[in-house]
Amino acid sequence: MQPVLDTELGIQKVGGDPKDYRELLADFIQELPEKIQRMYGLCEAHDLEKLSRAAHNLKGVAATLGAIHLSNLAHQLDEQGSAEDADGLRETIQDLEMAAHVLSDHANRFLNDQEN
Amino acid sequence: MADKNPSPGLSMLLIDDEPFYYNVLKKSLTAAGYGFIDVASTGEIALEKVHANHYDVIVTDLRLPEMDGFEIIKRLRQDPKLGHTPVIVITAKNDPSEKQKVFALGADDYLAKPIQPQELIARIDVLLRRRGPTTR
Repeated sequence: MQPVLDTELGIQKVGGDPKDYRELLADFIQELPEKIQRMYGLCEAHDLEKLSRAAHNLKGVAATLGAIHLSNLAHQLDEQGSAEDADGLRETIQDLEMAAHVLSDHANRFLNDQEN
Repeated sequence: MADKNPSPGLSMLLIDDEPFYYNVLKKSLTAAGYGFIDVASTGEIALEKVHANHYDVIVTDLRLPEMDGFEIIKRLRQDPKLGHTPVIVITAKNDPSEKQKVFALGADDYLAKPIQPQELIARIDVLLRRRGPTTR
């Protein structure tokens, strides 16, 4: 099972400062719904090049923050977009959206625990 | 604490359309004593900046809108003034054939994302040490 959020890995990947990590993670989960809505829009418009690049960027950022499952789904979307495999794109974005909700719950719990 | 940065005041251009990496790297590079860290979100902006400013090192993603990283490296290496500026590629795709291609075009190093700021700093230090003192 891929971890939803490996905070130890994420802290290490952003340079070792937990405060920096918390800030970057908070920004990321705040921007995530907008990023996913944009992906739906690109999918509807059949702009696979931009969709693939957006997925590619999400993959890298999520991996840096330790959001492994989300990163793997973004990688899958990137591959589908690059291969112009339009069939499963919407389903993969829906999977991403679901994973983003789960990630946000984990991230918010982590951020709240750190505050207290 | 010993000075960890052998190149104080180093200037770097980061070419990436994802601002996240700038936010991650800027803090670590500044904390390590690095100087000017600039960013360009497209190849066109990057080429304008490299002609207007001096950078000791250029760090570029490969997958960029409009002009990709391969083309950027090619153009930098064709320019006599920029031909020797160290170029480090950072990419989310760790692909041996891609690596071979960027080295053939003249890139000096290749790092797969997720990159750790300390690793990038170490790689830059090695490149600059090999090249000796920079002339401005």
